[in-house]
Amino acid sequence: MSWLKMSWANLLSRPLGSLLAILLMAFGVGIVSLLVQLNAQLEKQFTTNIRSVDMVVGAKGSPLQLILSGIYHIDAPTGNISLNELNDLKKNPLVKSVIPLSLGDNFQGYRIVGTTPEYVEHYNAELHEGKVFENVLEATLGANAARQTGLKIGDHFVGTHGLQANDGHVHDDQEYVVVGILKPSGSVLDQLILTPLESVWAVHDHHHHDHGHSHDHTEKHEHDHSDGHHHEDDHVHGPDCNHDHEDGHHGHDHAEGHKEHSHGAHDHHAHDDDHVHGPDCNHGHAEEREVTVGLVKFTGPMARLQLPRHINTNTNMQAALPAIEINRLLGLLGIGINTLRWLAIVIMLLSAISVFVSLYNSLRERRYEMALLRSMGASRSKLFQLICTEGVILAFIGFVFGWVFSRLAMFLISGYARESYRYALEVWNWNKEDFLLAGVSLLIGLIAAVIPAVRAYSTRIHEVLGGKTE
Amino acid sequence: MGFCKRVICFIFTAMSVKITDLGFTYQDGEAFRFPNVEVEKGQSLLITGPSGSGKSTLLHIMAGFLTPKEGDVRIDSQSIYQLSESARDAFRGEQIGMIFQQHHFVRALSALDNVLLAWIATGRKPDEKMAKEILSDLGLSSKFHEKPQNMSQGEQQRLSIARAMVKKPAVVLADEPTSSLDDANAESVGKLLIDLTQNHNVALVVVTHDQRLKDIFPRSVSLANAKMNSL
Repeated sequence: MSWLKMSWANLLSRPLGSLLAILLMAFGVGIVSLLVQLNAQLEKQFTTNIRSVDMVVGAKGSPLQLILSGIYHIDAPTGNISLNELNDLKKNPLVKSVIPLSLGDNFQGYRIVGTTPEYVEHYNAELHEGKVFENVLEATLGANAARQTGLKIGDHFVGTHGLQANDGHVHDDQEYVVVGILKPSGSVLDQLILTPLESVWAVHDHHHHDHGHSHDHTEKHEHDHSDGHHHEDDHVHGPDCNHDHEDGHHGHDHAEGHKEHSHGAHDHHAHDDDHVHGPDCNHGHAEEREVTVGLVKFTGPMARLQLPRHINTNTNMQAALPAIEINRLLGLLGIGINTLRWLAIVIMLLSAISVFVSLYNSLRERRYEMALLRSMGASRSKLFQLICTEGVILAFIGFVFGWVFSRLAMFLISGYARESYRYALEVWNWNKEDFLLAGVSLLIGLIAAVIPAVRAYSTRIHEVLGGKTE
Repeated sequence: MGFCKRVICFIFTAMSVKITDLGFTYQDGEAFRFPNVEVEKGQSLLITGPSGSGKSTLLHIMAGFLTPKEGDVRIDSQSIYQLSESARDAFRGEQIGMIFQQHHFVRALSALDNVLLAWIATGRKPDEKMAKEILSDLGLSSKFHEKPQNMSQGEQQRLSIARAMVKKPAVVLADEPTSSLDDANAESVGKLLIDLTQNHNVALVVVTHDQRLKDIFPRSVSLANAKMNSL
């Protein structure tokens, strides 16, 4: 037996009043904690993934959509842009670097992103095992994508057209091979399957070749190869246009040969070899290539003022500044979050009133107990402590329940986010704001208990235990 | 008072309660002058009087709840009104056990825990063994974990007595301990109190208007003339 046990026993002896106070406190704490957690996670995701991307260029449309699809991979892209235009942008002295991304397919809902190894370096991602993709149809998986899909090094898989799981054509004629898995980086890379740009082109060239045309392709070389070049080798161009031939030489005039290709962009790969060019191969047919977005870094602050307007006015591309768009988005979200936050504060105030009413009412019933304790030698300050302890216990239990509620809600939201956007949110982590919330909750319990405690403190034993007023 | 003085005082007088020239006035002018009273350890005193004669007032003054206008109350040679309020609280917790007319308990606690409160209220380590012993002596061995409100009147009264006696105080003050009991139980409780007083070597002061106890207690004082028109 102790004073703490007595406080606890007193609370248990009036379960309904205590439960109401606890539930109200839990509800308030739960909402606040959930909002804090969501806010922190959203901000973390937004800031981590912007990671010094100064500008995103893509097809014209909604700038926010461009940012969401290009950086966070949670929305559909606005369309495609010409690789040529992107390469022209790269030559602009105000541009430090451009990372092209090509979207269009997914594997079990995880987006397959055609890009260059600079994308991995940009996020400082480290390899958990294997290597970063180098050749066409090699894939390096983000940590979460690997864990959720169960793919391992050496596994083969095929992409599905579209950005949602199971809603498109399966490219079963083009198999990717997993060559690397990244360590968790806390960035968007965790949710992505990365592959060279050429893979995306290759897969879609085949796709269009097989499905996008009515003409018969049972024969593979219908297009004109009158120039006589023939791709029997694995003819792959890297992003820097270095020819990569297994046999170490190339037996034809490449530039000329490609100029004479008369087929469209999607027919180009209707060879029985893998003749693929890197994104910088601006020799003839690169103009036919498309990518989805380009992530741009500026050389200096002047670029921010000049480039977006220049691009939006003079090119077929759209430029969007992530910082501005995300601030706009957070501003919009903020209205809702602020409303909920105020609601939670009101609920917490109600819980304080509930704790107060619960203790105050119980004290009316317990005035004899208070007098009895005084008669047994308990000091006034002991009674004050007893009532305050009860208030703090109610608040503490309310906080614990509220915190658990918030994390259960977070668990559900995380499941939804994973299902819908392949984003994994942290659920059970303890933020520094939770310390603050715990402190505020206990303080509320204490403040709510002060008036009843003062009443207990000023118990006049003689009057309560049957005497008349002194 | 120094320790040696207290020891000498204890050896020669063994006086547990001493009331001298005690007078008290309520704010509304109702005034009392109480007779001088002395009770030694192991002895009991019955204080009787009609309703409104100041019995409860006297008891509350002896317990340190009410401050007298004049006179002195000494418990175990300590003048309790020379103590500060907090020291008086602690002294009461150590040296005074109380039995009330209505059996006040902490409803949330078991019978055993209510007895343990005798120590906890003053921040001392509870002696569970002793608490169980006295409850068993009073026939409540099967009621340790019972809530007081679920016990009979007689059991509640015995529980109240156990709580007052368990820490072996210098004096036990009882306010109408038998008024709600039938004749048999009243006699039984009266005798029990006297036995416990002797066995535990405490002084017992009972204030009551219950005339049934007059035959049981060897010594009594009447407050019939304590009330004054005004002081």
